[in-house]
Amino acid sequence: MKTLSIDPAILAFAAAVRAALDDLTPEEVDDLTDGLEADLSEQAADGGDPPLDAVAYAAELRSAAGLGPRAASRRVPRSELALMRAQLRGAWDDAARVIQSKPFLRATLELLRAMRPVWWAARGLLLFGLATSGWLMSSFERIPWGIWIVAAAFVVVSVQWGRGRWLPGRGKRAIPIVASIVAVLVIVPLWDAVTTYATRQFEEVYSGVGFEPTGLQLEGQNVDNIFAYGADGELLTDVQLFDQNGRPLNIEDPSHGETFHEGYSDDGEYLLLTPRDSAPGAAGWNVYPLMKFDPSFFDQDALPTINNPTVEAKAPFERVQPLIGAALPMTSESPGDK
Amino acid sequence: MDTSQLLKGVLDVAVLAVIRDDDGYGYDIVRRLRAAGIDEIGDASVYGTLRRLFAAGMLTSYVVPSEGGPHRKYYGINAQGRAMLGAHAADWNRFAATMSSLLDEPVAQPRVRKIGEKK
Repeated sequence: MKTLSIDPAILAFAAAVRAALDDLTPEEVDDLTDGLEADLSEQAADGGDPPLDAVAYAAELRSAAGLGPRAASRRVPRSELALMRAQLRGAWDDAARVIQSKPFLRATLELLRAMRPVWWAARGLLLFGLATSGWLMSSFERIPWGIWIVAAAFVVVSVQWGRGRWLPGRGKRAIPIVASIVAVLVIVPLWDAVTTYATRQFEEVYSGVGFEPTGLQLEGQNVDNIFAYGADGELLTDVQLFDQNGRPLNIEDPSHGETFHEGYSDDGEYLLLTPRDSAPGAAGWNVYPLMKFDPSFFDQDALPTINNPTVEAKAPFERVQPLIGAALPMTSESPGDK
Repeated sequence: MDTSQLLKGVLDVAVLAVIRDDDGYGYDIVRRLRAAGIDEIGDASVYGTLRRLFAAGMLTSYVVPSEGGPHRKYYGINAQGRAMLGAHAADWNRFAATMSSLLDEPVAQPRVRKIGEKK
């Protein structure tokens, strides 16, 4: 490894020079300090005095490069914060040297470095999640497809930031770091939001909300059969029913091709109902009352087919109250005959 | 006399001059300047000057990896750098000639009393 042959003192000095230039963009710092270790090493080999003051050295570099002195606003808080930063940087440089000297750690670091684009993409998704989490937490709607285009845009921007592109001059270093910190911080809350949303979607599906009920309903209860009685109170058969818009009041949707309808009577009897023979084909789901399959032919293992014999379904009433003014077949028993 | 102030104005030309014939890397250029007698200039000033000349389009730059050592950044002069070097060399020669002739004929200095000095 090429860096191994450099004197640690020179590495530390070069790192300190770069630290003193950290208000510049990474490109400017590279421009100014590329090859610095080589130059310093050679100078030391020549017996030259090693430079001691990295800050003064950096100031000389930038002044000669025409970059102007370090911004005053950044120089003023050269107090504990700056000291802490310098110490952190020193610790980082120490760690880097240790890592470089251990092949396994070095290989691991190189692997992690190679995987940075994966993190850039993940960071984009996390920031996208943060931007949309408010909606995710409150909405009961399904995620619209178009949102994934927005997610892709977040990923692209984050990857470009990782590559040092699409950044304003001033925030070149800070923006990607801040974005990464924010992305790490939102992982847990975002995970909560996503699981909450998923649970809600799950509950919605299984509570039937958002699903159109099929067949006929009366106050939320399925209607399995209809019995019509005439004005004289007698049970009618082959009654065709339609709603106000002319749609047949089907128990089953004929387009589903079902040959039977399952239902339960109030006393718990299991019913298998089917259109009357008078209805053409299988399209008689609005012709009442529906016939039921003969229970004596029930086979537990086989579903009924159209060839199974059917019988009249049991009506709830044999007859009902005749309507006022209806012609009644009871004239022979009128009191006047007595 | 401290020549470092004088040098600041002409360091660009000095740097261009020492790489006129051969490309060089940072410390190599410092060494050439020192060999030429310019030893009062800090190496950081030379490196900064190289960067500025490069940014101004006077130099080309390329990195050469080195076996068993850190990589080196080489600089070479380009056509624009040569043009600037030629123009500055002409300016310098004219200016130096003016200064030389001025300094060869000493101008009469009025006697100035220093503070606290007795007559």
